[in-house]
Amino acid sequence: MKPAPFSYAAPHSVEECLDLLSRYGTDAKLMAGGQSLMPLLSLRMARPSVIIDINRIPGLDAWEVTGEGVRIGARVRQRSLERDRALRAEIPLMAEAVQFIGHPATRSRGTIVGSMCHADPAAELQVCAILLGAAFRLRSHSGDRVVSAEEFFLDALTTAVGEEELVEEVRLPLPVVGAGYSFSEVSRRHGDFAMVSVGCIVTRDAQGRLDESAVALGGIGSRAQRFRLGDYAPGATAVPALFADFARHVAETIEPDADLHASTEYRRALAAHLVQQGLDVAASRTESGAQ
Amino acid sequence: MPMPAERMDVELSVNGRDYTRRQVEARRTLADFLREDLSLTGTHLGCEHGACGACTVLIDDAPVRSCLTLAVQANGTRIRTVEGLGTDGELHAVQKAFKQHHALQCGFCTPGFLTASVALLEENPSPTELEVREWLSGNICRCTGYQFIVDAVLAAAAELRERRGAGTGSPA
Ligand SMILES: Cc1cc2nc3c(=O)[nH]c(=O)nc-3n(C[C@@H](O)[C@H](O)[C@H](O)COP(=O)(O)OP(=O)(O)OC[C@H]3O[C@@H](n4cnc5c(N)ncnc54)[C@H](O)[C@@H]3O)c2cc1C
Ligand code: FES
Ligand code: FES
Repeated sequence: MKPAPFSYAAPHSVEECLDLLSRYGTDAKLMAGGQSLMPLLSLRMARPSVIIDINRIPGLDAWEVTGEGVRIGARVRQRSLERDRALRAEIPLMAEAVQFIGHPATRSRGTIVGSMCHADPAAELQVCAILLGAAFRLRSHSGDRVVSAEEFFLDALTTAVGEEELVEEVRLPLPVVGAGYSFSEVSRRHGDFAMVSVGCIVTRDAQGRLDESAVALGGIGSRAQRFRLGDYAPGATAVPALFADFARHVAETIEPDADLHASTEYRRALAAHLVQQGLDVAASRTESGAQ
Repeated sequence: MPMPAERMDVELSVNGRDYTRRQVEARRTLADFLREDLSLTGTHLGCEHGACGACTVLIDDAPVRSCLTLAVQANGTRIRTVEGLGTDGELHAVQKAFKQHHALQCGFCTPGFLTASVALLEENPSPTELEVREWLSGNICRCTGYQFIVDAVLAAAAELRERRGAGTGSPA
């Protein structure tokens, strides 16, 4: 259980990091918190010849609020999302989700961006990114680009990030005014990857319509999936059975894989339950409260 | 641009002692560095891939899994291991409570539980039972059934609060 030999470099600027990536790209692997990469190295499921450690790059450990939203640098730890009240207030959905990611000792090194780059289909933060409509800023010597969450997550453990690219930051929109958010999941033990996880937003327009309310589910296939309430029941306002019907619709639409921990039917049942419950909780957190 | 290297020098402090210019292989985990290079074998290795928590140490006061951190990444940091929890031949309050409450049997998992518990109480002096359980969810014990470990941590928390209260003269 020891990593195979590799060379290691810890660049001190994004420029240096991009130099290293362009020189060693195919043979190199970026390391952020190492909480997913280190096990892969130790199990020798990954054998890069060069590790580029981004932990010494100044600036990437910062987050800031701009007119468009919150920008979170590639070194911001999951622990910051747990402890930094100012950051939590900007992204209430992710603030609720972070407690489910591993354990304190993994969150003190694991990063927010690293989790998204790893793209485990059961990862809580992928669900958040898909629900909120995150965007990623990618840098390389061949040019910089911004990629939406829908384009970013391609498949299980696969993203749109090229071999010579660094994800510099993730951008999240500010909370929708008056909206309520909720995040919940079922896993075998607290801190384990979820069998099904669900993020919800409940929001009403000026006419009270719930069209822009939505849910996103993780653990149900190769990547997280988003469902908009307005696509299922356009123009709906407060209908008593609406959330239950929508939850059933979502559970019937998804095609979750079966594995050692949960069958397809069980995952569907969990999805129906978590979606309905999650929407109820989110609705109770809207400005106008429960219906 | 720094050239990637297979070996490099690290400087760090472990349990208050400074180590300068220790050459390590880049692939060396912090756990192996502590155990093999510094002979600090109190830090245990159960799974070596992040699942069990036996290897937990504190880096700049934060609990981390030393099997998921490279020694070179610890360059310039201050590390505490189970060997450094007590002072002057006296056990840390958490260690004493583990002893009193029979919170260990074979002891293999204990270093990780101790370091994780110390980190918890430094951050949150009055955890609830649920908070203790959630905090320690990343540490696996095959012997105790956890109940006595939770008891010990709650008792240590009470003891530390009392000591602090007595020290400052304010009510505990
Ligand atoms: C015991 C345990 C339990 C866990 N439980 C959960 C859980 O319940 N839910 C969950 O979501 N995760 C869980 N994880 C994984 C989580 O802890 C990791 O933090 C996360 O998946 C990866 O983040 P990282 O910063 O550690 O990235 P790393 O491990 O350093 O990197 C992961 C991958 O992303 C790439 N990468 C990282 N940063 C960048 C970047 N800026 N640009 C381009 N590529 C990049 C790396 O090259 C690598 O391929 C668990 C881990 C452990 C050990
Ligand atoms: S040895 Fe590090 S977590 Fe098991
Ligand atoms: S005391 Fe034996 S594993 Fe915990």
